[in-house]
Amino acid sequence: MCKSQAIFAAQDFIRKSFMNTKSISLLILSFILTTSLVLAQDDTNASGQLIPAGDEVMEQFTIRQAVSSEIALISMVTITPSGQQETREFFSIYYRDQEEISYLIRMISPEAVRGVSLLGKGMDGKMSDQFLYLTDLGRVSKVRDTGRSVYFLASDFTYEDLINEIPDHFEYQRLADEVVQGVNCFKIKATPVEEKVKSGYTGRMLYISKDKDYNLLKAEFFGEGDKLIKTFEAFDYHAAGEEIRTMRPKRAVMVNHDKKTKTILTILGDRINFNLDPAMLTPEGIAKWSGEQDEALLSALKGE
Amino acid sequence: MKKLLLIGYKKPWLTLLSIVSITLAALYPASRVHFDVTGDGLMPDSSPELDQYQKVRQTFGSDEIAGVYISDFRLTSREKLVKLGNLHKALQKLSSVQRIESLFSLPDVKLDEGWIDFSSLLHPLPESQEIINQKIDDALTNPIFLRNVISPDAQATMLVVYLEDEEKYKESRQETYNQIAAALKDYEQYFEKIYQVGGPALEVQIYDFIKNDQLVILSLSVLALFILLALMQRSWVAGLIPLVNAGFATVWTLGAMSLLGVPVNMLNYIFPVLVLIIGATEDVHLIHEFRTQAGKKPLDKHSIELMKAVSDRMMLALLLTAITTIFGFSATGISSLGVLQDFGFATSAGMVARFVMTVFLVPALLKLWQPRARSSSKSSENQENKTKSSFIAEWIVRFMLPRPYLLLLVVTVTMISTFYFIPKIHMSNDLMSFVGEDTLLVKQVNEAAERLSGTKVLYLTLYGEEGDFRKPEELRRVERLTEYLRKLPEVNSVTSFTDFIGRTHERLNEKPELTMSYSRLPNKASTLEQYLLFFNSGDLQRYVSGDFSKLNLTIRCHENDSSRLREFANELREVIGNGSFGSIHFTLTGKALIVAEAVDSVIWTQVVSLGSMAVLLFFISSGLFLSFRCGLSSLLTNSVPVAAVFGIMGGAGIPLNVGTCMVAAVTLGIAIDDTLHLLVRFNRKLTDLKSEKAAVKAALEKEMGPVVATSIALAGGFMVLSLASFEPVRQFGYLSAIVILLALVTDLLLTPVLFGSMRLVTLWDVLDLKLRKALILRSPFFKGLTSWQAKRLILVSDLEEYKAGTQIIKTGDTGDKMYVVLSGRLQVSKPGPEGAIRLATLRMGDVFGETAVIAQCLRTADIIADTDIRLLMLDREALGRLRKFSPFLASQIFLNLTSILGRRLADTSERLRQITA
Repeated sequence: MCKSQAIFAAQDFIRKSFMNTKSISLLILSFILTTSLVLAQDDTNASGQLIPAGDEVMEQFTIRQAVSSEIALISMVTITPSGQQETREFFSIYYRDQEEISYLIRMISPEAVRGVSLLGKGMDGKMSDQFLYLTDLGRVSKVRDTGRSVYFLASDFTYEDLINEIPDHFEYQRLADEVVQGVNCFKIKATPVEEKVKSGYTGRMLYISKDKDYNLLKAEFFGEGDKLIKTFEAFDYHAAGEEIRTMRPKRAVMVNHDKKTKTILTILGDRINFNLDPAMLTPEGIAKWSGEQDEALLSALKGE
Repeated sequence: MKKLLLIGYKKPWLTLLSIVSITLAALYPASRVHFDVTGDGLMPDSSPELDQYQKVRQTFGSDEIAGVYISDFRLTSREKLVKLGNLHKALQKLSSVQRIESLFSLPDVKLDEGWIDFSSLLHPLPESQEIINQKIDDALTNPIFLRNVISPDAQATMLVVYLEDEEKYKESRQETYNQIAAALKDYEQYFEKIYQVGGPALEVQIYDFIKNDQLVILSLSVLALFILLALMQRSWVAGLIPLVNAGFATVWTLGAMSLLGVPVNMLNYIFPVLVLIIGATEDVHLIHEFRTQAGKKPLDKHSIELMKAVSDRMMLALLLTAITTIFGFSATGISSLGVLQDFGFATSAGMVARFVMTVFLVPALLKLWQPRARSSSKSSENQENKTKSSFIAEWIVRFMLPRPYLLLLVVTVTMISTFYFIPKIHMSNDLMSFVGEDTLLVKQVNEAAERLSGTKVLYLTLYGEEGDFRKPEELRRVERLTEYLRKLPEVNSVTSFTDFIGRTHERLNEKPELTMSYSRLPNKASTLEQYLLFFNSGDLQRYVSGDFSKLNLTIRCHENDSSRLREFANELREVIGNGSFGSIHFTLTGKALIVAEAVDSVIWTQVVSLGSMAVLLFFISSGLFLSFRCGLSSLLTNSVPVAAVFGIMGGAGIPLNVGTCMVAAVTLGIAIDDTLHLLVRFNRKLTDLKSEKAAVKAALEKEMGPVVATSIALAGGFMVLSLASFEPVRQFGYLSAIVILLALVTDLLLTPVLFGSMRLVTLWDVLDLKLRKALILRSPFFKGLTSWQAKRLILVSDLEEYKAGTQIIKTGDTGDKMYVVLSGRLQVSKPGPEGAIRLATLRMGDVFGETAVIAQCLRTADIIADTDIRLLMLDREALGRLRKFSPFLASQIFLNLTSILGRRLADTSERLRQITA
């Protein structure tokens, strides 16, 4: 098999694996990006539209998220309107088992909130269920999807920002390219298809680098009246994968124009494609999660 | 100074061109003058309370809020709520709207059959009416909702609209109002009542008031003044000149305000009316005098001599009245309240501009217009007026002058009554009450306040160490305080950080009881920390600081009486400060409270403006007439009506506010003008008539007409302000009118009584008197006196002028007068058998007849004027007056007289010795 055939085969495999689901995890999950397999080249079709079109860019973007599992230790600094800061740390875990996708946010500091968890469970092409576990209540509760546009973790991320995005639920329109952080970017306007999804946003503007990595450099979130509510930016992308090249940002900032607050995420450590017990990523699993398991994950992150 | 009036007269076109050019240059900035309709000017520009309030705002966010009130009998039906939700969305789209708190957006964490629901109360709106009803019931037990966004009967709601606080939006609050109004228009058909309350609505109301008032009051004033002046002067041009002047002065003032960043506000917007009315009186005096002089002088009526004559008579009065009026208005600006500072600037600048117009433009227009001369005392009307004036003057002189104690008794009784009522004056500084209870906006605000919460927002801020207010034990203390506040009758609602935590804890613990008691805060700090994860710090910003060292309780109440609000705040401070809720470091602030507490600034403004005005008037009167007694008397004359008005305020329940606190200083500055006019006239008549009574009568006859006419015109002008939309302006208008009318009475009655026995000398007289230095050096009578003292002495005495050949003293006559030769030459002779024996020649500075003043005796020689002469005449009465009013001067004169008499005695002794030897 020649190199180009190998690339094609790999690409096809990823397509089969992920395009059906077309899952795009934005924000925290946007740290999970895959190796670039194709280079973007602009052209126009017969009707004068830019090629690749918005959905094609998003498709390529999706392809680059192809990992089976990933864990990241993230430091989150929230900044209040009057400038005070508060720091929290959590694990972000992504795990794919066949068609089932799981993700988990598990707080590990400060001590008072250690163990508070948000678990997402979803199948390809379907909305995720979310489960919340508060240690002091000792109970796992399912989160109603009607309340997903509210903020979570005292941050500027909403529950909606954490769930798998189903591309069928959105229209992606490619607009004129723009330069972000000195990088030429695709500018994609994502508009929710109202009858399919209840989104807290009337639309988003995604800025994806036009290089081979398709890195999401910036995302803008709009509310009623197309008012800019939040701006997300990711910085310092670096190759994190071992077997295949996977790009990860070191740092990301969400600025909330509406609330005048800001959240800064810093990746303290991450690891992809490692073995994880799927039982941990269940409602029962997060309730039984122990300190030893946290230690084990920390060790895994250190490569021990 | 007198030459000022000649400039415009000499170069009318150049003057006119210059004034028009300046006016055109001022038009552009004038058209861009800023309107301050926020009511922020009612707060002191700097104070510890304001600093505190700003710190609270900085920590807990801006309180730039608009409100949309909606009420409907079926408000909670799904059909209506769908419309309400759509309205919420429509408003959210507006560029100036930051966010909205409503039934559709406020957090409402709940646990429902194992599901945790973070959605807002009605977003998304449930399909089932039953579920909606349950949610509304929930809201009615939730202090975050109750009376903040939903009424207890669930038939009224408020969309609390937080506005962008960027400058570009702040400057266009009217645009915001219009945007919201346009959005509401589409929903009016769906609800029984829907309207805006809050900042932008109030600002638009204030702006509309200002606009409408300008239209009504200014138009009315212009029309009334034009008709009045045109009829009085029998010339439409004479009626037009004051209007033109006021127009130019207004543009100049607006231009200056714009360039200096002084806004038009709810008080100073009346300055064009004041400039028009007060300024017109001076124009009328000037035009009247010009036409009178034109009728009198056998000169070409348009010669420069005519204007010089006018200037001689008018310039001093014009200058003095301008100074007192300008100072009266500027004194009101000595205040820490922006609204008064702006009023002081606008009105005093307007009066300065007006003075410039009177001095330069009126002479120019008179030259160009060339009015008809006024026929002196020929018309029957003039004759009739004169007869009336004479009758009143006669009555005053015959009845009042001999009975000064009667008048003083009346004044004393008035003052006692006044001082009884003065303590009853209450203070007020509240924007809503200024707008007036009858306006639609206030009625709407009151309705919204009655069904939901009042517009008066107080912030009770509690201070602790970093992290204190994330400790359950501290929050339980706060909760007790919150519960206490909720039970107070003055309080409509209280929102606290503990409500968010308490409600979350209650719901996540599946405790179904829905009560208003929130003593179920979590016991464990970790539980509280976990609940905090549900909230974005922006959602809690208004209630707790980011480091949890400060906690803010938002108290809403409906109290439009600023005194009562102050009392309530003080009671609250006392209760919290006495340790009932433990040792708490706290502040109580809020815009409404700062405004209410700014009554101290209002009182201070009253004291400072009135005090400084009184001091100024005292010094002006004293300086002008070179007598402290005169200063005190003129102050007393005009203080009586001012004091009486304070009594009226106390008796009639008119509060001391930003409008009424200006009445005293402004009217004192205006009322003193008539007193000065009367005194100047009295002084001139006294010089001519040599009799106080005759001078009083003549002065009254001459001045009564103009004084009465200007007082009535001014009072009428001030009364026009009682049509204004703002309560303080209305009160300022009619109270000022009352003072002006009372001042007219005191001017006509009290002034003659107080001044009737005085020999007044004006500063100008002294300055104008040309006295040769040689006279003072040569004359033993003026020995030891400065030139100034010599002039004063001459002016309080009688001057006599005689032609050459006139016999001044005749041998054998009984004399009681002495003379000092000021100019000319006299011969002293004795009759002899062969005709007169020339004894001596008297020249400038020589004194004669002095023995007769000391002891009445027969004249011992003839004294005849050798040339035209001018003599200073003194008799015992004059010396007595001098001793009474100028003791120092009198003592020097008596010393000089003694010295003169001593020398005479020595000469006589020497002559006797020579004869006997």
